[in-house]
Amino acid sequence: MDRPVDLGRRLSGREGAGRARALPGLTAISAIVGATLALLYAWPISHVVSRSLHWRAFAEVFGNHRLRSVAWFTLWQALLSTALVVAIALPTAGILARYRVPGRRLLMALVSVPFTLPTVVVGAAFLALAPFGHRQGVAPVIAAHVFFNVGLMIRALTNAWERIDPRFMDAARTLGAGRARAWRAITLPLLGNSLAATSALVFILCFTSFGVVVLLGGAGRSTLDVEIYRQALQLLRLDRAAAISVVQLVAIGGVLVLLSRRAASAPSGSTTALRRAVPNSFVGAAIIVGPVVVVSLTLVPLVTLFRRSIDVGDGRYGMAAYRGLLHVRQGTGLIHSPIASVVTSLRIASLAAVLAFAMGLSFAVVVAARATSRAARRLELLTTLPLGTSAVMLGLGFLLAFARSPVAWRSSWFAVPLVQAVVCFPFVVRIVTPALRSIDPALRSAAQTLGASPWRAWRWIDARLGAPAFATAAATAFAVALGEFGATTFLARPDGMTMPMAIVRLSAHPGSAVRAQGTALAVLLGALTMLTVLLADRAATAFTRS
Amino acid sequence: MPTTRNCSRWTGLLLCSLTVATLATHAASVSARLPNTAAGPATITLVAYDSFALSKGVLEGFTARTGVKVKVLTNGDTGELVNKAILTKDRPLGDVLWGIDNTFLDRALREKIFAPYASTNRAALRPDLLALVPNNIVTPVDYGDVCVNYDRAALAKRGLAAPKTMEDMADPRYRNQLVVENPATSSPGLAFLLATVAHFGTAHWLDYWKQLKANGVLVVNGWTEAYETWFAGGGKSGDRALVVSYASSPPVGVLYGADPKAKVAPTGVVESTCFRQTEFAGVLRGTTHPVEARQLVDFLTSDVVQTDLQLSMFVFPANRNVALVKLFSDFAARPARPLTLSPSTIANNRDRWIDRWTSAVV
Repeated sequence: MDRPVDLGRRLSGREGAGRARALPGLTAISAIVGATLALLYAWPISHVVSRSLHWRAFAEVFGNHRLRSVAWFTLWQALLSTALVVAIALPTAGILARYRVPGRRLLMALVSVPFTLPTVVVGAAFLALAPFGHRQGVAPVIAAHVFFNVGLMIRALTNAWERIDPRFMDAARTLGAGRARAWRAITLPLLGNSLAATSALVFILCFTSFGVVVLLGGAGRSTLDVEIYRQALQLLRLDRAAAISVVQLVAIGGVLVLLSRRAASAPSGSTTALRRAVPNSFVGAAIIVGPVVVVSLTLVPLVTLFRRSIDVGDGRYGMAAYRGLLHVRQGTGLIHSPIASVVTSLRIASLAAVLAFAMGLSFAVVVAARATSRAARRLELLTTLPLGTSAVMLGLGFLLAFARSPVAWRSSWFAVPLVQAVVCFPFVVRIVTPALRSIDPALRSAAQTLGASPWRAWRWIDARLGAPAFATAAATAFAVALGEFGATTFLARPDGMTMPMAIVRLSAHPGSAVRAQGTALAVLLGALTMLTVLLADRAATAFTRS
Repeated sequence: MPTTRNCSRWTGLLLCSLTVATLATHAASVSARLPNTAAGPATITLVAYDSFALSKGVLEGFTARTGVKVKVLTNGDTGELVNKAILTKDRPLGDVLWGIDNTFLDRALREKIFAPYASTNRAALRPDLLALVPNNIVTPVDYGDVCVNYDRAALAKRGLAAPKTMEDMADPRYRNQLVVENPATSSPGLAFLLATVAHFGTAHWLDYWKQLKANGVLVVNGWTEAYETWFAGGGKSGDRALVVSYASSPPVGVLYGADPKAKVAPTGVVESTCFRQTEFAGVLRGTTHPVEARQLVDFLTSDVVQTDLQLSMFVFPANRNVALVKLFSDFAARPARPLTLSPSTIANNRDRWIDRWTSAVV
């Protein structure tokens, strides 16, 4: 099982420093990846920026009452959503980290379900939850944002909390600190790093929320991302749309800069997973019930979504909505039957995942190989940029940049997989790079000593040890591409509608039978995404074992 | 760098796999999408808004007559349809566009997305609609009026008479009765905003809206929510007696209502509030099938389509020789003098008006 490791250790021990020869051709790979990113990321974004560098565009954005109120709403709903997420996740994580809660593994698995789902599925779930007519507005948007992110926060905080040695707390208590004071003095500062990072991530996700707000926002409630779409495609005011994008990019950039300072200063703890038995008292009951309630609440919208999709009225259940997916229906805005969007989505997402994986892997190989150089650090920092760029802005960039020959691609079929590949690329890099970094270079040097060429050694060692991460990365890219809505909606051809787009169209339809089809399609998309994540998990485990 | 051979193998492998994947998808999708230039019956594409619908067999009639097949490509609501046509004008998505209306006409004319064509049915089309279009750039195909509708039962329950004028809606007697659509997101909402501008003039229309706001007007995102959720005459849940909808809504209410044989429609129209919306079709510049595209425009203004669109899309025919269907002649309101604004006035002011409306009302 761990033969390569032993072999590597033995050999590297015998060889002393045991440095592997550098992989040849890295420069060529860097050049290809760099050129691809320049064409597919920098070039579109530069179009947005240059379009906004127009004195009137910014004046219009800041001088416009509606846009100011949209910006304000975007900000406060993101802050409120993040605060609620923290408020719910903090006590839940504390309990999960400190006590032996029965069914803990199941709870942890269930709690991360919402976060893996596409935004439009979450939106559709909340549409199904509330009665028609009262389902749009501020409250549903915030509820959906909390639902979407609370699992992420619980997981991150539980992980961090487990690393804090409980004996610190005990020591503080022995020295006379009250429970609250000890928590403030010990736990909170040690959690700080993870809390800040995850809060920032949640804030950014809520700040750039598009699919959820499109479905649940209602009259006059739009975020900056929705406004970019509205200004560009409904009003054809591309300058304004570009200016709003730049404002948003600057805001996100600010959050990331603040975060990187904070992350640099915070200490990291060691792992000690010491959990106590749940006390046999009233408090103990609360400790058991609390996490179960939180997790159940996150499942309610999903169960409702499924129930709504099989609800045929009068309290009876059936598959009518699913059968309806097979037929073309005039007036819905769908040219083909809704089920055709499944085929379209699968095709586009596989292509996007292949592209994103190829780009991301090449990038990670370059970065991992030059782990020590400053240039590589900068390169890695560069990948956070697409992560911080909203998909809507990228879609707008594609629309503006690929307008004229020789790159008149915006109305061609491959615009969508290309833009999705750029959206998925940072996920691949973030998964693959740490995995490649963690592989001891001594192993490869050992293989080379045995006569393998550098790339052969890479295939033997890095590719094998990295395989679980590769599987996770490819599957993540596929899942993200499947659910991608913001950029896709700018570029999709009307006859190449993806599942998220079809869900949004069907959900906005006046006929309740058609809306039921929207929920059915959302169930299918949710199931496909979860299946992908599950299979990736299996594959990763299988690779780890072999 | 001793083994560049391996490096080239690696990049080669990468490039190969990418190329294969790309080509495979390309082949799969292109076969379905390229316009057929080979021999055999030509297929042309009609780009239209999402709610475009003709009865089954109507477009097949065109194929039977001309040998030309028609593929319908719906592409969003009217605004999105026009904007996407402008954004793709170098490589148009289709040959003929259906559904640009008088509020968007000016934008399309400025961007020159249409190739002018005078339909052979021109003489039969209503002159007032033709007058909106310079140089036959597009051809009027239908029209409709956006008006305040009322629910007879809801008014009777409150002991109120049907309102007669715009001003009535701001009267405290009709407090909390009116529901309108947001003009920033809805086409009937925009039409009603334009109606108030046409009626009160550019200096006073916003004052009227302030009165409406003080009188409890409810603003929602779209027609569906307004009519089906809040209007008493639309669904089960609503209790508001007044809604911004269409002059053709009462016949639709009869058709789908509890009593399809009713003598009087359960809802009515305040005719003095009606604003006219005219829709046009045109040949897209850059079409590869100009002859067939023109034939299709002629067909769209012919008796067959003009009769069918009344009950398939609930609009009135632009062809004045075409008789109204019975449901329309019995129940639809036909205001003698609907409110109008010229396409260029709308084009020059729309965004500003919407911004000012949003600041004042929402």
